Amino acid sequence: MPKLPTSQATKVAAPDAFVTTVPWMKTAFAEVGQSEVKGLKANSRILEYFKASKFWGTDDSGGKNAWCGSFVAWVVKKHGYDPVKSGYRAREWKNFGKQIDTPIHGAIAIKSRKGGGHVAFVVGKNHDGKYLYMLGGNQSDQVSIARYPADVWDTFVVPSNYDSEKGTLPIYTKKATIAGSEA
Amino acid sequence: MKKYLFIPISIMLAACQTSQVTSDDVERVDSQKQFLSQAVMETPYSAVVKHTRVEVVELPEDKFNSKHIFYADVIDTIRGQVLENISYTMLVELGEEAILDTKPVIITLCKDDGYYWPGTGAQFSANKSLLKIAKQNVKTTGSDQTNFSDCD
Repeated sequence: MPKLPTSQATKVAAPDAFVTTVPWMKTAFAEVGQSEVKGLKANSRILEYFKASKFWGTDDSGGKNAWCGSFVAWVVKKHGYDPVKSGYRAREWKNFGKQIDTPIHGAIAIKSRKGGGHVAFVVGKNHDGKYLYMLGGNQSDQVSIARYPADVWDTFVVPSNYDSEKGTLPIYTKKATIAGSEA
Repeated sequence: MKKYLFIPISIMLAACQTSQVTSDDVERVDSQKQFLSQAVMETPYSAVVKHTRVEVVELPEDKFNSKHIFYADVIDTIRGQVLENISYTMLVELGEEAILDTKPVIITLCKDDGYYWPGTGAQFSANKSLLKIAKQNVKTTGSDQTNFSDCD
C-alpha cells in the first residue's frame, strides 16, 4: 500500500446516508468502492468504463491507464448523454454540455494540469466552502469520494438540458479519511 | 470413420479459438484508429518505442504528486526529432503504480523543457495498420506547426 498524501484529497467513507436527487449521481454513488486490480488483471467494471469512453486499454492500473474520464463517460452514458470525444482524457470534459460559473451538486468538475488533469462529480462542500467533496474514479485507485481544495477545479459543466439554476451545493458532513492518488 | 471426423472437428475448434482472439484484437485496433490520427497530428513527437525502464521520482516541493520517468529505445520515428532513445515524464499523484510494459508501442508526446506524457490515450499498439495510419497523417502536417491541442 503506497504512502499517501495528507491533505489535498481526503477520501470519505461510503455515502450511505447521503441522498441525491440528481439522477446520474445515484448511478455514480452506486459505483463507490469499485477498485483497480493490481498487476495485469483488471476489474471488469473498470473495463466497462473504458468501453464507454472508447479507450482501448486492457489494464486498469498505472498512470497511462488513468480512468477518471472513463468513469464519467460510463455514468453519463447510463443516463442517455453522449460522452465527449476522447472522454478517457480528463481535460476533454470541458467540452461537455454547458459550462457553469460555480459548482453545484452533480456538476462535472475538471482540474487541468500538464499531462492530463482530473475529472469528477461534485458532491458538496465543507462548512466554509474552501473544500469540495468529489465523487470520482481513479481516486486512490478506486471510485471514491475525496475532499479537494475548491480552487484546484477550474471548470464546471452540466448536461446542456439541465436546469443549473435550481442546483445547490450542499454541505457534506461525512467523516473524512486520508486519501491518495488519482490521475 | 471416427478418425476422419476427429480431424475436421479439431480444425473447427481451433478456428473458433483463433477467431475469438482476432475479434477482440480487431475491435481494439479499430478503436485506436479513431484517435491515433489526432494524437499524431496534435503532438510534436511520435514514434514506435520499446520501453526499457521506469523511474519514480518524488518531488520535494510537491506533497501530492510524483513523477514517473519512462526510458525507451526508439525503433521507428514517426514525427519529430530522430533519436536512438528517449525519456519522458508523466506527472502522477503520489502512490500511483509505475508499470513497465516492454512490448513495442506507438507513443505520442508533448515537449517543453523535455518530453512529457499528454494524458490517457497517448499510447497505441504498434501494429502495421496503425503505423501506416500514423505515417500517412504525418504527411499532412506542416513542419512549422507550433500549436498542438493535446499539449495545451
